[in-house]
This record gives sequence, structure tokens and C-alpha cells, in this order.
Amino acid sequence: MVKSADPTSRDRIKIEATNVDFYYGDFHALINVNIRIPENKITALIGPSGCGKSTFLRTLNRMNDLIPGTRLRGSIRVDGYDIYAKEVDVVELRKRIGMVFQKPNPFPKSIFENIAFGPRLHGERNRARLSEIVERSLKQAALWDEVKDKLKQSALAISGGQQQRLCIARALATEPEVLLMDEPCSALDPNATFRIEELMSELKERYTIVIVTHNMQQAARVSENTGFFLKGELIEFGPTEKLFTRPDDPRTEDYIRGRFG
Amino acid sequence: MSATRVEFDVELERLRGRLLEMASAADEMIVSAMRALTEQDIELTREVVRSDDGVDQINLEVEKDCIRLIALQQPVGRDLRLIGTALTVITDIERMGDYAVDIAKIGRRITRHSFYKPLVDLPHLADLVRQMLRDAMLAFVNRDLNLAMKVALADDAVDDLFHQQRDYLLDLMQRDSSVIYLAANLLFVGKYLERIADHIVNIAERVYYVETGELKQLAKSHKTNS
Repeated sequence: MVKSADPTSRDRIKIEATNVDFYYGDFHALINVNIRIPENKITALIGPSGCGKSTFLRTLNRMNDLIPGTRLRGSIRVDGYDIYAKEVDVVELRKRIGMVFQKPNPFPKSIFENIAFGPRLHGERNRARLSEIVERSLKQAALWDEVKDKLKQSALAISGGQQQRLCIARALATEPEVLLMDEPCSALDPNATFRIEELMSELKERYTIVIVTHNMQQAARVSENTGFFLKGELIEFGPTEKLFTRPDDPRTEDYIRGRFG
Repeated sequence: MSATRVEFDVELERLRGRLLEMASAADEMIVSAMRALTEQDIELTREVVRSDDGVDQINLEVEKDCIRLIALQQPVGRDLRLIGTALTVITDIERMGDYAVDIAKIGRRITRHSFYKPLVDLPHLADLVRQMLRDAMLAFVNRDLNLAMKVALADDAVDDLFHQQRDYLLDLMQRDSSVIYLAANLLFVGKYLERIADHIVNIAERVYYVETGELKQLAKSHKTNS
């Protein structure tokens, strides 16, 4: 039986997944996942490769819709609304629920155009307002001071750590409510990693953040709550401090202690 | 997929071994200190003082080992609880060694005083305390929660015996002022043994913590800082 924990019942719940099963063709990738993700907190998802944590993350803004042959059962609600309902506009949904990927993937355009892309897509044409959005987003992503004099330069010319913060800024430009991060630091050096982590704790004031990470110290450092996935099941979900000091499930304990199999 | 951390496991086993070694050294110090007292043997007192340097040395080494393991292995869960426990248990054992030295020094201080009667209660108290220490360390090695609880209960018997002994000595001093020097010193011996028992209860509580993740006071009469 899948465990579902509501670790901080006083928190407002932003995302609620109920009895979620997910299939890639015949492969049963998520098995009866139940989780309630609180608002304005950082929730970390950990687990071995292939455990379903990234698949689950991608169900939260319907990124898996892009993969043919996939199927989802159960419900995922954001602010109480079913994001898989027929009338949901997926482009609008992904504006509300932004995503940052493992490798920084800026568009081969200028820094300015990278950030302005999303707002433009959503109809913003006013140059002054676009400039405002670019500046605000870059400031929120703690990148403004480093790039303000080279906004017209190619985004590919800045360092990997800066590119990843640029991608965060790009996600913030459409004013999302939720930020999904899929191993955002795995391609970054320790310094750039700490900058992103610091940034995350600033951003959670305004956004709900869900991060998938293989770096357990990172999960322990940045998140309030952690979920452990194994073979498609959510084994345990609870306050990070508890999960890393006295987890309930022996499988969680084995995994975090690095004695697994 | 599988993962093991062979070297880390060897290190943790070694850490457990060092704690046992340290506890056993403290136990021997208690034995020698009580003999230094009852036999008023100055050479034994010196030996206890020397042994204390050894216990202090283990304390420092284990602390360094723990810090190194935390830095290099980033322990979590049970491993972290064990290492955190080692860090507090060494402090408890180190204090036990200090009390043994205090007892041994009382032995030296009273050499010119003959006992008003053969010492029975204090050696008995020391035996109870040593049994607690053995049980606490056995509970640690065998992950035996029942034994850890038993150690906490045994502390009540130690407290009772200490209070009896204290009342007896106070009464003796009131009736015969010529024994005050000796009796006051013996009163301290009882107090030191009682404190050693409190530190052993701390160890039992840590055994409980390593196994369950729960920190709690096992003995209701247990007040280390009183």
C-alpha cells in the first residue's frame, strides 16, 4: 500500500495527487501515488534512477502528454482544479507551472530574447513592459547584476551556472505559481549549485517548488518535505528532517544510507 | 541495482569497538579506584590517574573520528544517530573516568584514618554501578532495548542505596565528631558513584535513540544536572 503523508497539515495544499497511475505503453511507471504538496514550500523527490520521480514531476504540468503512448489514471489537482480535465489549456497550464531541466537549455538567442520569449508567446508585445519583465525575472533569479550590460549577447556565451539561472528566470517570466525543477544542479559546479539553492529558498516565498534530485545532501539542505520513490511507488513522504534522521520505512532508510539492493 | 558502503561499515564497526574499549577502561578504573579506597593503596591511586589519561586520549580520538566520518561520509538515518551517539557517549564515559579518579584520590586522602567498620555498602554500590555499565554496553552491542530499559530501572536502586548510605553517614557524624573527616569523604564517594550511574543511564538512553530514533528520558529519577 502506498503511503501518503500530510506532513504539515496547517499548510495550504497547492498540489494534490490522488491515486495516480501512469503508463508508458505497457510499462506501469507510477503506481497509486498519493501526495499533497504544500504551498510556498520546497518539496524534494528522491529515489534511484527509474523510480518514477521525474515521471511524477512531469505529470504535474502534463509534460508527459508530449510522449506518445502514455496514459494517466487518477487525479492531479492544483488549487483544487483537475489539471487533466478536458477544458484545460495545456499552454496556459505550463505558464502557471514552470519547469527547469537538468541541463541548462537556453534558446540560441540573446539573453533578453530568452526571457521575453514566454511573455511574447502569451501575447505581450509592449517593449517597455517586456523590458520590465526581463529585468524583474533576472533579478529574481539573482542574475541581473551579472548580465545587465550584455542583454543582447547570446545566452550560450554565459557560464553553465549562469545559463541555469537564466532558465530559471525564463520560467519565472510568465509569473508561474509552481516551479518544477528536474535535477537543476546536476550539471553545475558546487559554487553554482549553492547559488541555485540559495535562490530556491528566496523563491519559495512566492512560488511552490518541487525539485527532483539525486543529490541527497541537496534535498536535505533545501527542502521542507521529501518524498522517496521506489519502483514507481511513493514509499514515504514527510518532513525532510525526519526522513533523513529517522525514516519510517526501512526501504527509505536503506536508500538514504546508501545501502541498497 | 544495489549499493553497499563496505569501508564506511568497517569504520562504524571500529567506532563501536572504540566505545566498548573506552567503557571497559572506565570500568577498570572504577574497580581500581574502589580498591585504592578500601585498601588505602596509594600506588593504585596513581594507576587510576594514569588510566584517566588513556581514557581522555580515546575521547579525543573518537571525537576526531566522528567529525571525520560526518565530513567525508555525510551519514544519515541510523548511521547519523550512531555517530551522534558516539559523540555524547564519549563525554559520559570520560566523566565517569574523572569520578573514578576522584574516588581514588579520596583513598589517598584518608590513608591515616582507619575505618570505623569494614566498608560494605560503598563496594556494593560500586558493584551495582558496574553491572549497569556492563548492561548498558551489552545493550549497545546487541541493540537490546529491554536491557537498556533495565539499566534505567537499576538507577533507582543505586539512588536508594546512595540515600541510605548518606543518611547513615550524616547520622554517624552527628553522633561522633571524630569520624567527620572520614565520613564526609565517604559521602563524596557515594555521590560520585551515584553520578557515574547517571552517566550510564545517559548511555542507555542513547542506545534507545540509535535503535528507535526517539530521544527520551528512560529513568524518572534521572537528573544528570541536579
